[in-house]
Amino acid sequence: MTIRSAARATSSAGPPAPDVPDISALLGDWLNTDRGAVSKGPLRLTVTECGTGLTVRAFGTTPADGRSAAGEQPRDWGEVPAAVYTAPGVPSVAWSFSAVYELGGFRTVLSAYYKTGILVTTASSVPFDGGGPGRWTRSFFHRAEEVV
Amino acid sequence: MTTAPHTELADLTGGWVNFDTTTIGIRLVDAVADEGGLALSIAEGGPGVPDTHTALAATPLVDAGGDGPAVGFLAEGRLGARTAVLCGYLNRGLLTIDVHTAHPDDQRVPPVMYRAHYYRPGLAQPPEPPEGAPLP
Repeated sequence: MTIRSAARATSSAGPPAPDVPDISALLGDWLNTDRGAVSKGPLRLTVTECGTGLTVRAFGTTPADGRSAAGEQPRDWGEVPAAVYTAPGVPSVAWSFSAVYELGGFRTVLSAYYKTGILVTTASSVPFDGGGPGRWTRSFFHRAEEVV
Repeated sequence: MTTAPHTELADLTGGWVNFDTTTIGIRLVDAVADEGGLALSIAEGGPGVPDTHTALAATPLVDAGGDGPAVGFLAEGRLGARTAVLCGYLNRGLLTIDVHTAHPDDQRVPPVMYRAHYYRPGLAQPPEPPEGAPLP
């Protein structure tokens, strides 16, 4: 975990208030590194500052339960508020967030953390009716402006 | 917290011990199959800090690409005065848990996320060869 390098990431915002963690490492447009070839989570995330917190907009070719359909177009999961987390003992810098989506009969908790320039996410999808198994996937994202 | 009866939970169940004995956090997780879900018994503590114990229900999760055994879980509830979201998943036999906690009653305390890695002591040792089996 490179909290210090995270704090130096680009941000359009000014310096954070003293009692609010710096969220700049998490902001921006993030692209799935495998473009969905393996992982079944979102293909793109847009993380935006909102007040002292974040909103997250996710796009994916699959619904939140991870079941894909051939030829399906990218699907907008929508924009939702996200909870922001700091690392233990480092209250000045946010390195993680979580957001909840309710799509397709599933409640999906999308959790993410920033590490060495990438965003690592897990999507945990639980059916509303409890009638089937939940779904899990892990994905890696790089900033959209960075060419891989 | 129910799931399909056929979902295999054996890879997740058992007693899990945190590799890191130097920090304060979730030290032990005991996961038991419970009517298709998982019942977690969680011990938090650390050096110089006595353990506190919490029970949480967790939903087993299978890989999004198929219908195989459970490879992770999601548990949401409270750890003492904190709200908690535990995202656990298996990685090559180890259990990784992303622990998210917040103090809803004290906004001065920032929400925290930490990652911890766990092993099952009974499975950490090489298995004994079956009786009569030739040794390498």
